[in-house]
Amino acid sequence: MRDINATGALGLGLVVTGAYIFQFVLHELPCPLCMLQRLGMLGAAFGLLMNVRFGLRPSHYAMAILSALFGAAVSVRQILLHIVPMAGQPTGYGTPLFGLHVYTWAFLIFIVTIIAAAVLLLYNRQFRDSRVLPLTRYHQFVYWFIIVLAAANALTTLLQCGVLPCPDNPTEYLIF
Amino acid sequence: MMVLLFVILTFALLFARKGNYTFAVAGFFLLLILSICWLIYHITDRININL
Repeated sequence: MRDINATGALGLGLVVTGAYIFQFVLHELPCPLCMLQRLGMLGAAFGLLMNVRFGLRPSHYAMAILSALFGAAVSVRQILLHIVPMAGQPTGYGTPLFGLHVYTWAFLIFIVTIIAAAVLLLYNRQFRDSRVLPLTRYHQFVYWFIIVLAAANALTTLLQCGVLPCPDNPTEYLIF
Repeated sequence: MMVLLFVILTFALLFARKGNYTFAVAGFFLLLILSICWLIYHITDRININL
């Protein structure tokens, strides 16, 4: 069960890595709501990693669900901002991926995360033997992957916005 | 502002990896509360409504 949690965290980390492809390959800088969605995804991964480090507990799944709910709320906010097409303006924010915008994909991923965490909570037997176990090499890799992603996000956000609130439609880095 | 949230997340993850449960959980909930505050600010700052 710890491996399933680690794999879930790795999957969420890979989604955030995909967002970096948009940022550095397509040169689409993230808006403030996009950053909050990244934060929600890494927060959900954090809840799953707590299961890996401190043993399987319902409270850790609750942390993942709370983060995913926050991320879903942010995604819905961004979907609603762009849901009505305006004449003469491009529809949505950023380049669509397989027909949907990135924030719509983020909303779907948050919903899948909530459902997956709820399904994992159904298995009561996992909580009987809840104790702290040493991290395997795979767990260590996932932990460092998520830590490096969080630190990289802190750095790129600093480069983009400095310590001030980020602009709504960023076009260039503030510090570079 | 937003940088602070990612810095808190990074430190919470590092505390979790080190095995410090209290600081990891405290960091997580601080992050969650500040993120919600940021979202509320973002919404109320841009909608011209009278409540």
